[in-house]
Amino acid sequence: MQIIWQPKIALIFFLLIFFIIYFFYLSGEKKYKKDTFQTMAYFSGKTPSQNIKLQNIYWGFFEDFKKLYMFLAKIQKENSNDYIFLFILGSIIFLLALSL
Amino acid sequence: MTSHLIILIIAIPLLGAFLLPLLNKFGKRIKYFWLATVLGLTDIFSFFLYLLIIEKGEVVYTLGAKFPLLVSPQGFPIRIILEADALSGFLSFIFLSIIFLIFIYSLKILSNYSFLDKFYVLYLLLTVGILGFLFTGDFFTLFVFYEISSITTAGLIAFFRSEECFKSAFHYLSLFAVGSLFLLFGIGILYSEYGFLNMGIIAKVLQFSFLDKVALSLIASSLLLKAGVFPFYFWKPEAYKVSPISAILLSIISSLSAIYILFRIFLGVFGVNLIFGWILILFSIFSIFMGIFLAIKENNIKKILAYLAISELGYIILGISSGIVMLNNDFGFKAIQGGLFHMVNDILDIGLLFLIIGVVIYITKSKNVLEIRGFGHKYPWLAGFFLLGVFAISGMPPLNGFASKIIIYESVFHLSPVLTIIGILGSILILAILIKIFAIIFLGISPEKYQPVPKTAMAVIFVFAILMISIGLFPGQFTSFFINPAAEALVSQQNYICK
Amino acid sequence: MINFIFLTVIFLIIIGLFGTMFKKNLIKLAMSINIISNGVNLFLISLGYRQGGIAPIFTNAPNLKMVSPTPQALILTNIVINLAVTAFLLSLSILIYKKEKKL
Repeated sequence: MQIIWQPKIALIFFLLIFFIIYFFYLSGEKKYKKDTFQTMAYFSGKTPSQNIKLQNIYWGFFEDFKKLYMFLAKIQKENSNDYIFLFILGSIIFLLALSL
Repeated sequence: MTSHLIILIIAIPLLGAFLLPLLNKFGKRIKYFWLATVLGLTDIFSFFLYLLIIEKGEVVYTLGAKFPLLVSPQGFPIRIILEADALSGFLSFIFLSIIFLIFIYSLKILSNYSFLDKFYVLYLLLTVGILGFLFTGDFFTLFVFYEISSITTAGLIAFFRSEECFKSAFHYLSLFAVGSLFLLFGIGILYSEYGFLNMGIIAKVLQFSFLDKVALSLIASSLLLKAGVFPFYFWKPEAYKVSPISAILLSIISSLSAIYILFRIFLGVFGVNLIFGWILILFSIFSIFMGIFLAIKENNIKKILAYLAISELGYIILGISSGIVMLNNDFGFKAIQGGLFHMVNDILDIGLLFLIIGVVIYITKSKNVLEIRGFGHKYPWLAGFFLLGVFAISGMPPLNGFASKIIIYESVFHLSPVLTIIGILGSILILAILIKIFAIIFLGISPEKYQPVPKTAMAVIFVFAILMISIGLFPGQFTSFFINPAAEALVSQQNYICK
Repeated sequence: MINFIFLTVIFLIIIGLFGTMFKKNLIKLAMSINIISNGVNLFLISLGYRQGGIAPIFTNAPNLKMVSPTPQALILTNIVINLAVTAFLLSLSILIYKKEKKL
């Protein structure tokens, strides 16, 4: 098994993509006034009534697995009793699995 | 002088740590100069040690006498022994360079806090603990250095002195006290059977009775606790949430050296054991999965990066332990190489992400990392390096994460395709999580005040990025120079016993 | 013939582990870790016993077998480490008590 890996080809590829993007950047509008309506974002529909935060972006995933998350949060409650209990449990599982 | 290099590498930071509070009345610059000298000298000595190991093979150092008189029946000296071979020399050189760079980074970032000299004393002592893990040759020094590193890490966690920090330090220290007592119990069982504590002697006279398996599982559980993989990962998010950035990176380095000593014991001393390899593969898959699963719902950035560190350690253990299981193939050796290569790449990638987060927290001076918005407009360089780190850690082609991960994927595929699928899915989900963080911090409406990034921190981030890109562009040369002799030294048990 | 020392060791360790797992008071946690450490020390020092041996001191020693001194060195190190850990845990519990007003 050989990994064929040529850093020169990767560098040439990278420079090519960089020049294409730079070409797109250069062919834009040169004269525009800052901080007027020309630089604001364009909403093509209803503007959102309430500010939805970005950190809820995976809300659907979280909702589907809610039971599993609640189960895990009930086990690990962040005090040292639970930590030591889980450590001893883990080492007993290791011992049982190794001595088979 | 060259015959005493190993003990000098451990002794110089120890001496530096104890002399540091005495320099208190000479002012700040002398203290920083002393720290830089100590760390730089240790780094240079480890480089010389690595050159010496490439020449000679393996370096063994007995403390106290060059050719001691008390000798066991098999011809081994009964002393405290320090051993360095290609793997530990290479790891010590890389870790010490990174520790030096982190020290330069923390010069400016932590300069607003008081009690800084105590912080640096604990920093140097944790360096001693890490080096002790890498160079130990018998079991009892392993226990002593395990305790040194857990006590100093507990002190570093409580550095910011808020109520949360004290609670986290208490939980950490009580857990690790129990863990180290388990380690001592396992060592005591081994001592009661064979009467010797050196790793080399026990490798020769070992029979696999039931008591040996009990001792093996106790030692392995406490070392896995220090590493922070599947059943024992729960201390990591709480501890990394409240501690300073330099302490987090040193704790990741000590986790990596705990993984090293785990595989050294179980390949060098106990021999190839298939059940043990399969158990570790199962643990590593679960730690990859649990790390990502628990990070999706979190919002605190340091906690998310802590879960990511757990997943990356899962990749390393997956690589090396599947290499143990497949050792009669050609692919087993490649898997071990991939795992060892990923150790270096992991500390560079996660280090870069943590360093940038540290700069962000320093500039905004806010503890609540959810409220940071719009950094990318005024600090484009920081955003660029963060994006580079995100691509590196999830395995995009010209960077170093891709090089090590594809070695792991391709060689693990021949063991079972399911493992490769889980690995690739893990990488994709890591990218998803990190893009969310990138969008929260760096995009959006920019803040009003503009404070320049401290130059030392920017220089260190730049060095990390250059190292990442260069290792990514030339992985073949890096592998054949550094990692091939290291992997050979790990696998061959005969080389370890005869010196 | 029941081996009393190993039974005591296991008894001490189980008491200590129950203390850490089920007690919430911070001082009880620190003292339970101390009990576990004492149990492990007892286990280590009982490994060196030779039948009919004397203490391993060379000056004016009668000509008998000596008890093995290696585990005595091991547990000296362990006692000092345990002292450091207990002191650190108790001082952390003092600091937590100051901020929270209950233990």
